[in-house]
Amino acid sequence: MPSADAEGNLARLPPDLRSFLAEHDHAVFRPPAPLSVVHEITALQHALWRAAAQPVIRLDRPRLADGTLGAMPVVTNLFASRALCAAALGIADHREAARSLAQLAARPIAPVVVARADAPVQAVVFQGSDADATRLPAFRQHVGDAGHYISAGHLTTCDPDSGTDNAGIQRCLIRGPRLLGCYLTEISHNYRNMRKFWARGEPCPVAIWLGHHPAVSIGAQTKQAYPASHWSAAGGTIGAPLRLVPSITHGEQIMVPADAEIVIEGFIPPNRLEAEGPFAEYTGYTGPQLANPVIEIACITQRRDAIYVDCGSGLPDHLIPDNLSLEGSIYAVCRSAAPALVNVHVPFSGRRYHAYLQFGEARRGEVRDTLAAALSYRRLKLVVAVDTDIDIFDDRHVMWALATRAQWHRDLMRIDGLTAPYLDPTLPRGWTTASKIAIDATLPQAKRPDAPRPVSPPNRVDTAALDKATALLGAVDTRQWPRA
Amino acid sequence: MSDEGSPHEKDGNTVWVSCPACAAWFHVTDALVDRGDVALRCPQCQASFLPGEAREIIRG
Repeated sequence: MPSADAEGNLARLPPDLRSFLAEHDHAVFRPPAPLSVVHEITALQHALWRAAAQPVIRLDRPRLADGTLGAMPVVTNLFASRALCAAALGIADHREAARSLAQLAARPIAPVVVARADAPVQAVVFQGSDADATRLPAFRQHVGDAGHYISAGHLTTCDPDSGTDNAGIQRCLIRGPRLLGCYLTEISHNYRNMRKFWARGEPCPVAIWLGHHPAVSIGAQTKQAYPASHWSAAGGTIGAPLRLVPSITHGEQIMVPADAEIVIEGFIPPNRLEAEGPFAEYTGYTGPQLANPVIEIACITQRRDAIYVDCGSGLPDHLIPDNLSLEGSIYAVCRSAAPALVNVHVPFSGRRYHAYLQFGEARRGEVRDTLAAALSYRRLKLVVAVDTDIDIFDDRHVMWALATRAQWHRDLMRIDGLTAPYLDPTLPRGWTTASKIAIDATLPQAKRPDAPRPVSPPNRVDTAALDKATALLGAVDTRQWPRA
Repeated sequence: MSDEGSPHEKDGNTVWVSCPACAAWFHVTDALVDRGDVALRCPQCQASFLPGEAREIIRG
């Protein structure tokens, strides 16, 4: 990797969490009274979701599990807003995320390496018994969780054969001052790397980094081939080389982002499994306890005034960044097969299981081709195709299309035996594959461009009259009116 | 092609008529057009005309 100085790319301040928070201070909610990391801050996230408001939450003195006020600030709900995530990525309208992220993913930018003196995340180094994970204000989010979890840590490993990095957000249970539990799904690339080290009889070196500019976090989560670097993807999303520094424990074998807030370094000892979980997961259901590896902590590094970042599991905070990334991936793959594909939305309502695809004029078969391609994404269980007059960012509109534009004998595709999403609470015991469906809820095409579509036309009101009515309501406080 | 040709291809189910006076399109039932002796009324310009006098008829 080139050095930062040689590249001359570091003239401007590098993007980080605090620069993002300062830029978007208007979107940060600071609760006026202390809230506890045990349930209370997560409960606030649930309440905000019900109120359809998604600010970032920041508490400078959170109440800790022992009742005292902590000294380390916490930030959560950082990713809960599509609009804010889009802003972080430099996308003016979140509804353009699919196209924009597909373009960003196609333009990776290689990282640069900086010296430790230029790495804020290594300003403070705790080693030996001073490296104590229990001093982090990790949340106990939901009733039934096994304990306090690091929920927004990017667990980073490397492929021992190629040296290529891999990073993914994976939940980590704080088991003790110097021991974490971690959930590595068997299909994850981190799991693959870990097994390679174990096959050699060696512990797997890891680093977990928390707290960065949201664009870095979203870019680093982009699904990649194996092995493929996530650093370059993160560089693509910030439009500049990501600044890396060798980890204290592993050196250049495991690099970490120089501008992160906190890094936990350690090893996954071979073949040591312990019970981990339950944990309230992305599905909105609590996942079961299961046998998982542990991480022995060797070192914790942080900024001098580090901010701890949490991610509200199963809430928009958890799902929005991943879903945005998935929209970009689906668009990139499906658009190459279907020029009529206009846009993609992976809605929070479907967790990670549903996608809405919007089409312009498609040739016969094109919609179904695209639906079949989209179903190949492991996480998707249902894909719906609609026309451009349907707002794919409004579930009510998509439901209307399903109700009025589909005949099941004709428009429903079911494919069995496809890879199943992990933690799908409906999967029969022992199954690793699932049945998936796609629905073509588009209207039939007109026989020629100047003719109407051969179906009943949707109801509509005069455009000028609608504009007038919308302007009228804009001047009225509607909050006290019945909502249902 | 029609639904009979392939069970998975979408075709329409509506008859569209173009008004001979203003060319506006509106849709009617098959039965109304097939009768032939009931005058259609354009919702745009209120012109009244028999199906045989339509500017164009498209069966989806």
